Amino acid sequence: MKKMPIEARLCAYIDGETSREERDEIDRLLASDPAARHLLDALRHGSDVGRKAFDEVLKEPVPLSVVRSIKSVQPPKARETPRFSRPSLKLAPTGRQALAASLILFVLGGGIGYLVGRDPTATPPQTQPLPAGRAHGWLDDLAAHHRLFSRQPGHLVEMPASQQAEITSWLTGNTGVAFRVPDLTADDLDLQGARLLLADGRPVGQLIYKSSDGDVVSIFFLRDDNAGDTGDFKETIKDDLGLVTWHNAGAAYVLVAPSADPTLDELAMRISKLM
Amino acid sequence: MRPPVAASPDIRRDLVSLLPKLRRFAVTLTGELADADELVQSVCQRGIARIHSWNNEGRLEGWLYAMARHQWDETRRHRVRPSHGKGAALEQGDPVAQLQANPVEASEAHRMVTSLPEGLASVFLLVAIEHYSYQQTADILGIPLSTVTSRLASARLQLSAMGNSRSPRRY
Repeated sequence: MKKMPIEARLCAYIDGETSREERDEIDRLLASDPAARHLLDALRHGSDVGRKAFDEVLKEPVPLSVVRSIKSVQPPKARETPRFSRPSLKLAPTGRQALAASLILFVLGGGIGYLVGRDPTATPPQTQPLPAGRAHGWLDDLAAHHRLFSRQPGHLVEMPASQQAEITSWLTGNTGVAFRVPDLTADDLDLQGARLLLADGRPVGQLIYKSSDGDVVSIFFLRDDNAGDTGDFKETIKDDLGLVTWHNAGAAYVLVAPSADPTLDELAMRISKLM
Repeated sequence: MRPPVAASPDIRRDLVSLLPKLRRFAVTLTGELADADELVQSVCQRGIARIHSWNNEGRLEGWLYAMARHQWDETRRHRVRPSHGKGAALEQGDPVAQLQANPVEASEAHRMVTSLPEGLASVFLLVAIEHYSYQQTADILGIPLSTVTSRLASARLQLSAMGNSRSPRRY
């Protein structure tokens, strides 16, 4: 290390790649040599400048064609493939915490339900068009909502699939979107139930399905008066989730599923016909 | 969403979530987005086919980075014009690079990364941004440890100079 140029030694010092003796020696050098301190500052400044530049490059959108090319590759089936281990989010509340959370949710849900449903004969509120500039905001909300509840098998739905007729009237009455619950058993997706939520300040209906291997798929829908039936299906990827959005008869729809599903857009097209 | 060891685990979803990072690393090798996308696509396809050979230790992207570097070395060996390498086209005003230019490529940050001399950006990315050790970086890039340290110092000093010559508000 000592035979290396001073800038390389200072880099190793910054990166914690020096021995204790080397570190002590560099500390002494920095204390006595202003030129070495100046060089260390320049190296650190270079790190800051580079970090910002590389962070910007990371934000550049990945072409959908690259994503699709990966999804279309069939993985080898003969052997079991190891999975990339991610830190898992474990939710293991105590009995008291669970009770407290349930009460809070009950009060909140009751309040929202009272406000929304205090005049059941009234027509659903007229909605403003979804702000295009904030489209990512509400899509992010939906992705986050899907991610949160899909990891809680015991709390996946608010109203179970067994109450399908109530689901239809409940969500239609609150979102203003007339819909049919699509039967997706041919796609290996069984209806689990439904939820009502808010995104960008508007009521959103959610139908939740599960595949035989445990994947959770959601269909979100909300009133969007100004959106025409463009027939466009737009697919975006948000980390581990794929989202396909479309509009039909004054409503916006979003299908959310694991991003590795290579046929997500085809599934969205089938759903749009069934709803 | 699924238990870690599911009945039909699918490496493709991990690759999709790693795509931005893979693409950024590929850009440090190729210097051009079109080449980077081609490289990422090829590496992901090879990764899927060879996933059984990954020992499941360390970071999956490190394994893929090493594969990308091997692949890019191979591609460059087979190319007739070696000047198509990292950064060269941008510096020399190659018409191909100009044709492929787009607003993203034209961003200041992107230009800063691709204008670093060959070999510096990859080392800087792995050590200073992704926190690989010098030895891991040397292994991924197939270069001696001493080259890692010298390239890293050069990269930092050049980036510092670039930052000084640009608007202090941004860099």
